[in-house]
Amino acid sequence: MTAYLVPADLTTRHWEGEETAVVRLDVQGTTHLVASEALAVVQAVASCGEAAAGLREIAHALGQDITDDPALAAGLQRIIDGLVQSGLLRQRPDDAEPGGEQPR
Amino acid sequence: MPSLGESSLDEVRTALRTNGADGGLRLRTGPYVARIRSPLPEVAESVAKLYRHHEVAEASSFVDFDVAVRRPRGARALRRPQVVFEFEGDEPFNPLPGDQGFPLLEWGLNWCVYGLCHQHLTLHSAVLERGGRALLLPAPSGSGKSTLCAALLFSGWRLLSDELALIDPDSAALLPNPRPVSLKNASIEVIQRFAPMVEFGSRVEETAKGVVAHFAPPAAAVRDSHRPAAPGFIVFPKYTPDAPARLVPMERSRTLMRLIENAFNYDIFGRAGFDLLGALVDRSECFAFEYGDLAEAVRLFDRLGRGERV
Amino acid sequence: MSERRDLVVEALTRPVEHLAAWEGRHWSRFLQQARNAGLLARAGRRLRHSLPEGRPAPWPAALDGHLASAERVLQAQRAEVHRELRHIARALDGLGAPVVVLKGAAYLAAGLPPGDSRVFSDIDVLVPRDVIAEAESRLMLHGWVGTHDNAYDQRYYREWMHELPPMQHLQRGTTLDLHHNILPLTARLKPDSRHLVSAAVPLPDRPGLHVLSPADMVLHCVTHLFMNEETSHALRDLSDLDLLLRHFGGDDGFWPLLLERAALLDLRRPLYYGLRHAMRLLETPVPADVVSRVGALAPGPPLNGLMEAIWARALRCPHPSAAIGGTAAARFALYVRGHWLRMPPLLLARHLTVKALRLHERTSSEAVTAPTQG
Repeated sequence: MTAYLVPADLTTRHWEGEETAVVRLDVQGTTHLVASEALAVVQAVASCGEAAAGLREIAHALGQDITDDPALAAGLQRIIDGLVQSGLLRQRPDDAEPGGEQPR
Repeated sequence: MPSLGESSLDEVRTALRTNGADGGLRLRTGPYVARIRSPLPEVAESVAKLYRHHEVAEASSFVDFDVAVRRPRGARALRRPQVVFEFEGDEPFNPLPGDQGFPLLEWGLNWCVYGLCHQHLTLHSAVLERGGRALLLPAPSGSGKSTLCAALLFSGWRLLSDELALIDPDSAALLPNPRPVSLKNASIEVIQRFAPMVEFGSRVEETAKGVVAHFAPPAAAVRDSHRPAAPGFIVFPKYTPDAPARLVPMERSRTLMRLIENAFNYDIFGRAGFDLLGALVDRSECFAFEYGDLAEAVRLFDRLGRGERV
Repeated sequence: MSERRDLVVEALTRPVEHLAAWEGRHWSRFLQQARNAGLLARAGRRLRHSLPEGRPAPWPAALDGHLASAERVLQAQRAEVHRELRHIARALDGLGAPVVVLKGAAYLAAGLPPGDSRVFSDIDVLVPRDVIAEAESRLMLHGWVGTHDNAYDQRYYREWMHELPPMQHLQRGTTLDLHHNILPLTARLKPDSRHLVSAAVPLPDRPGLHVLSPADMVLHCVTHLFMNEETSHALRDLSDLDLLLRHFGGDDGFWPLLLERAALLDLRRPLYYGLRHAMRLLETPVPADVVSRVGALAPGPPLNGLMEAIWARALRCPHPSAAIGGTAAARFALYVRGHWLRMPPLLLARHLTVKALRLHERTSSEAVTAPTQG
């Protein structure tokens, strides 16, 4: 499962009720105007904290259930992929296999 | 301190023409002192006319920019007359055809500010002030910003700059830097009709860009150029023929992004620039503005400036 | 002001009492010279540090703005260099050979004093010659593209020089110079870059990246300064040398090793020039026994006198206000000498002719045109 995390150097300016927000990545040195839906995804990943934030967990944090809803899952994955490409989300390195095996 | 208008044209010409450590004309423009030299008569005439309200600084003053506009050195000068901008012994740009000396000087002085002065964040924007509140008109060329700015400065708004917004990094205040106001093509006639008493300097043809002309900033604006303005309004203008004047509130996030896009040195400011422009947006009312009739536009801004709902 | 004073050197070396005598016009002149020499941030820091607690600055308040501006640019450039080094490390990960960062970026990455206050432009990196083709491919995979498309320049760089044509990153626009030695293959002096690489020190927080050992770093600095054809940054490079020597010189083992490495790398003559002029201009402290041993490395009297005069003129800050008689000729002589030391005479004549033609093209098409006003 691919899990995601929010880069530590990400700063946001979002004014309540607006459809867009401005996000800056200090280390990468880029600034982006993002749709509030995309920002919500970033915030959902952040809210997962230490726990692995995969597609299901992110959807759950957004109050959604992707079970039996491939369209929702696909849409959410597209938003996530776009965020990863811009650097606003990172892929977490693969965690240990379930069942207690040692991480490689 | 004496203003340039108290000197005769001859004295101005002589100062501009004199080389050596004590030569040149030292003018204060907002926070900066520029030392200007040029042997060209049309530059002397334009400077004398368009900087007449500006303060002359003494020969011993600290100089922020040392600039000159002259003919290029070397064989090329013989073919067709050209002018070149010189900054501290270097010629950083290609020369331009012969009669564009004064516009080149103005362009070069802008470059000095936005290229070198990172003690403040600089936006490509007009800035005016009324009732203690700044009005920013950020925009690239062709948006109608320049015409609108020129009309407003004759209509109760104090000019801080027609081109460069200087933002103090500590207070987010706008720092005045009033210089000759430039207009192009049709805008020249529009403003001549709007404000018949304005005296334009020579009209100069810019290669492939049309005609440019300048007028001196109001004496009061120059006199008050030590007085910053607190954030007030950020308005993105767009001239559309026949469109009724309309101010539409703009989302702050979009405003912030557009300010970033119009900033010369946002990259140099980094995170501090993001925070500073965010603070500026926080403290401003933000609008998109469309207009087709200048007088109608000015009336609308009048109401905005008086705190009425628009 | 009729005397041609190098105010940048004075600001870097004189006590604040001396500077208190400066008038507004001196400070203006200093600003111009420092900007031109790329030393405004460094001189600014030195000025502020030399001011005793509570004492008001003898310089105009307007200068503070420019010093603050230079600091801000410095910080932005440092962030950019750090960013670039990360990208470079990622691109060259798995190369199987050390990647040695050189010059300004090395000073910054290694936390050395010159890195604190320097204007950065390109990033310079050295790899062993046998992996340079692979390094180039990996960089291209990560978005860097070659420049200098024409066949002559390609040949100049690949066959004769110690570096590839500069590479530019497509998206970020940053420039990277990839070297396989610190001097060209055709130069008269032949430092063996294998020695440099084997003595290189890994950077603790950047796996895969290294910097030169202290002695080698100093030798590269003097080599770059004295063998190079471009002397416009000579004063800045000399200032870097001064800071490096002050930093490393406190360690007793440094000086004997410096002399040893200079002999091994065939770089004794540049070392002589470097120490001589750093001491003369910037008052760099050098132990007496080192001074006498290095004095023996000087060229014989006629050449020595001539080179002294040439270097004295060329090392002055490059702004016209600091130029003394003969400076343009001195710089040209150094330019030719720089090439002569790097290329055999026959190649040199051909190269200078082609370069002169190139310069003409560059002047007319690469200089920036004044954009639309308003």
